[in-house]
Amino acid sequence: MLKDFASGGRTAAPIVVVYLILGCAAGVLGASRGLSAAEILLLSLLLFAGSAQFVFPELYRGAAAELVSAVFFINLRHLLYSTALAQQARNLPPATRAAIGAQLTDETFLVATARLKGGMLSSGAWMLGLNMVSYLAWAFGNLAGAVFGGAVDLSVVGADFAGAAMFVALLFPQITGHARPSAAAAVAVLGGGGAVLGLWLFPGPAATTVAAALAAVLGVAVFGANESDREFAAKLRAGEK
Amino acid sequence: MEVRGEILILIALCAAVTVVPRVLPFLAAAKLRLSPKAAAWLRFLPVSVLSAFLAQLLLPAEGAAPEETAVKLAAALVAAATALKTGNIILTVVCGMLSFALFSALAA
Repeated sequence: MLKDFASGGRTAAPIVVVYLILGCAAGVLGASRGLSAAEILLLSLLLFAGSAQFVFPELYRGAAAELVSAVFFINLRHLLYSTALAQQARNLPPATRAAIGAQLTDETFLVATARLKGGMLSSGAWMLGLNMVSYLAWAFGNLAGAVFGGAVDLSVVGADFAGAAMFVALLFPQITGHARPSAAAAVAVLGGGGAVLGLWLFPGPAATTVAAALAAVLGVAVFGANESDREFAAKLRAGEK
Repeated sequence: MEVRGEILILIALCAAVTVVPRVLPFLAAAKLRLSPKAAAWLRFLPVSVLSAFLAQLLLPAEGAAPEETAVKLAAALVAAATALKTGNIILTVVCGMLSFALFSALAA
């Protein structure tokens, strides 16, 4: 179990690099908007959500309802992640599943699903190791940014682009690792195009998540389910107690 | 180094609305009986969510100069080329960030 935890932690290496940089940038922003180092650390420990933590410092002095609803909609995409990963984790005990869900982020979800390649998540410890190492890197980055923020200029290393570069890096393994790479590539185009269209028609924090969910629906409508999807559904039924 | 009461309440509220969508499906949806089409939908989700949010990140920010968007797109192309060529996540991130910094300096 400890071995699985350590193995999951090692899998988090690329996430650690990005979270240290992005976390530092989030800490710098928070400090510049009047949050104390303790508040920034608490925010990263309790919220642990990159994009929402860039929004919090900008909105916290306004209406609470506006801040909380913005954070809710920005993080609603986790509903899609956890629905997808919950299927692969269904054989794990409920407490382990809840702990995995509580620390789910874009990066931990995507690294995990790329590794699982549609198979079942057999080791909760492996996923918790991946999550926990990412979590600590994020908190450490935030604290460093909050404390030393004024002293370093992160734009020299292109820190503003770290999040987008990570998404590019994660997108390709998702397509090539999919059971149907060409269908997955088409869905990627639909997702990207749908988001552009959705943000143009309905500007707001929910547009992108809705566009992503619909792009996957459209993908199923066009490409249907294949043999591996039937196997996956059957495997889930077989796993029922 | 202090935590103000009103900030603590805001953090707690934000954490609450974030943790529910993260945890609820792990507890509720784990016992769902999935049709093959639902399974196909779930397996398309990572790709569609990722590309949708990537598109959002690359879209022009409000009031951004055209050069800023061009710099983002150029850096994304470098990152994509690195990802295709090497398949290495860290290298892709590093090349993307450094080219972004370089292109930003050139555009300024």
